[in-house]
Amino acid sequence: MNLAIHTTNLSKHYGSLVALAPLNLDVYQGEILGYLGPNGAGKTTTIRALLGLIKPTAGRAEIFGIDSQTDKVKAHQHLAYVPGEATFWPSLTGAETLHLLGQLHGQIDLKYRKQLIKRFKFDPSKKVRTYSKGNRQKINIIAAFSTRAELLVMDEPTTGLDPIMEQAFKESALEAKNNGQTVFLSSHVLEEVEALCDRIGILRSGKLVELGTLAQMRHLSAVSVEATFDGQPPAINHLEGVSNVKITGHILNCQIRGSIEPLLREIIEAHPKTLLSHEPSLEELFLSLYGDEDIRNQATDNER
Amino acid sequence: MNDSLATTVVKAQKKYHSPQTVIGRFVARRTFRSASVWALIFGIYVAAKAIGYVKAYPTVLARQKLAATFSNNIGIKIILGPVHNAATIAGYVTWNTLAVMVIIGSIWAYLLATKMFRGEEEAGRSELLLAGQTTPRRAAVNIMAGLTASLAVFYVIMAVAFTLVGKYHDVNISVASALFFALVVISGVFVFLMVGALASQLMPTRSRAAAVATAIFGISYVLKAIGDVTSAHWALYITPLGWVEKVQPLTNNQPLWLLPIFGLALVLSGLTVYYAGKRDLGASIFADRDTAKPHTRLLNSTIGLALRLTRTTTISWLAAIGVMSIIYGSLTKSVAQAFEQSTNAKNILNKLSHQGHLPGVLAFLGVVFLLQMTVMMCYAASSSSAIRRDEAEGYLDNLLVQPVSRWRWISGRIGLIVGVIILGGIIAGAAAWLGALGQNDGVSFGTYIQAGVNVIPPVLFILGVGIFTFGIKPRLTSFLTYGLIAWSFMIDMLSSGINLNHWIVDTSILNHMAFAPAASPNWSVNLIMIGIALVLSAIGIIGFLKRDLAAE
Repeated sequence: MNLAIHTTNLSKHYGSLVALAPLNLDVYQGEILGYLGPNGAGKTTTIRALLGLIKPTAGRAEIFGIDSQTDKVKAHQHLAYVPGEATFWPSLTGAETLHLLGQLHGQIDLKYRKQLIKRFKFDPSKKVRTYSKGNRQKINIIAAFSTRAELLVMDEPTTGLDPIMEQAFKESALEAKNNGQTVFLSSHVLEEVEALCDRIGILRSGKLVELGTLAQMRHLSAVSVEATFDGQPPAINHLEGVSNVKITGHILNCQIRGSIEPLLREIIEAHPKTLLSHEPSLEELFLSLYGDEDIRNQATDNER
Repeated sequence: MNDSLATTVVKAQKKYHSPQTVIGRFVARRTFRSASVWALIFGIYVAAKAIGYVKAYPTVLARQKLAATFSNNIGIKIILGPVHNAATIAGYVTWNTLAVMVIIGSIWAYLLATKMFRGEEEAGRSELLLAGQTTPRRAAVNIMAGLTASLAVFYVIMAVAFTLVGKYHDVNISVASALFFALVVISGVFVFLMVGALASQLMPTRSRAAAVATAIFGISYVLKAIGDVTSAHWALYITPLGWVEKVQPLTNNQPLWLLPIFGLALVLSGLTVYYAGKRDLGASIFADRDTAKPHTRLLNSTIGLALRLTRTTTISWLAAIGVMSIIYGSLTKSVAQAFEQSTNAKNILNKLSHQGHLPGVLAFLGVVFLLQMTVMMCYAASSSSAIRRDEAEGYLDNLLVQPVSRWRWISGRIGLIVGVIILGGIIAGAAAWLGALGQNDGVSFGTYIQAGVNVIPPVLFILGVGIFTFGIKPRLTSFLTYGLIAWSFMIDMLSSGINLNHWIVDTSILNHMAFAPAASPNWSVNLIMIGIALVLSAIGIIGFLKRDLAAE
């Protein structure tokens, strides 16, 4: 399969601060890759290095085999970018801004752009300074999708959008995928990533700590179990892989990593009234990977 | 809330005294530095004029002769106002510095006010502040209080400087007079600070607010000039600049004229507060059209975009240079006569031009083109700052994530600015010639154009410094370019009045320039200046191509 993005030991340091540790990442053509991490984990640094807006301290990045540092213009012909914050020239109208961005990119599907304007309920006749944050973000989204670029690099693209527009965004992203386009999606909206992405990469303190499909990640994580009994729930703390055991009256909650069989045996012997188990959601996975303590530590580091 | 958390919250609250005034303190913190710099420049300016005067005119006879020369000169009156007691040091200092300081200070003040009011609102930062323990009206009062606090710093530094100048032997200006003189300067500046504040409530964008404030300032100046040179003296009574003139500090103190000045400032500040509460955040009293038909003719390239976004500013700069040149050109003959008769003027001009006796016409035109050179240097500084602003505010990201190389963007921007600079030089020459047409001043069209072209190299030099700084230390772009201009202008002014060490004098760019048309342009120096500009620009461009984009 062709690679849309290929990075080799791509890293960025700001003095002693490691914003991005050597990153080796492949994004395949036609997939949607979710890129997750808390604030300051290095998501935007990765994207800015990919786009050539900042110079990596070491390593290289390729967009469809083109070095994105040494041959930026050629690399950018294959991509469109949606930043998390829309900063446009306040005196231009929405239509003028879309025209300008299309002209600069060099390729534009005008018919599709009209469709997108309608889908996102965007009024292009207004001046940029009069738009709300969400409407300004629509300019970025419409401009990027209407290029039909082979690679869409998106950094928290739904910032400021209402739920209906988020839905419109999802629809457009899936259309792009069906069209064979690749999407590199950095997002904080875990539900959005869960719904859209083929694979997910998770960053932690500038390091890529997980990369795989959601199913693959779920196998690595704990399964939540809840059982209700007529009497006292059984003692299960001694079982291997069991954690977070919580007994509230007749209800037992716990998590199990690895084989679930010994736990099931203990529960069945105690004659449960109900038994529920579910795989971890992306949110649970995300939180289990970071934990409150880590997030706090990272926030403190960023403040320094 | 548990006890320990409650204690933490109480402790944290104790740290923040009077949150209602935080906006004012924040504004004061952001503006006092530029107020201090201008106050220092004004102090040095007054020192140069006062000390230069006592040295050049040591006797009463020489001073009376000077007074007679200038008292009825229309051109001088338009620029500086009428002379009162020019035979005294106090009269000379007032006449020679008051109008200049009030004009420069007022422009600084209204631009600062529009930046702090409408500029902050445009950037979306006001929203954050208004979400605090305040209301739009209280916030407006706070911003004005912060600006006024900076103006107070301005006053104190200026007052100390004037007092020190007054202590210089032979100058002999009392402490009370020095303090009063500083108060008169600050009163004019204060009115236009409030003009800027009110314009920011009325107009939807910072540039329009600044344009309205500039128009009001321009009308005030024209009315003052009409009052000074025609029999329509009533015009002086309807303009704050006329009231400032009427105070006549140091000579014939009329402190009652300060009442309408501060009264007007108070009314303007009251209106500012009133309208701040009346309108929505981001809206304005004179609403702009929110929608427009798309005009995409220029929006096909980065150069086209730059042209579209800067066209109003560019046309305004070129028009200002043209109009100024026509006005100065039309005054050539009359001011030249005064120059011919003034020993001090001759001394100053000789020092500026590094030449012996100059004919009055050429000497005056030399001063005119020196002023135009400074104005155009400011254009170069403002353009390099605009390039930096595009990067700092994130506009550049929109372009560089497209198939647009950094080289294409920066070379287009620089090319455009260089084009305007060349055009500005030619306009300065041609417009001055047009203004002087019919006066038989004996200066050919070619000489005027040559003098205009002579303005270009130092302006390109400033642009080179701007591009160099932008490429290497982008956050210092404005500070270094404007700082270099202020320094050069200050050293040139000082060296024309007092003897400075030649190493210091050589640090001024203006000092290296031929005083054209009084002296023939020195093409070797011009070429060296352009060469240095090219090298600086090249280093700056390479630096920009290699560095990370840097936000504000």
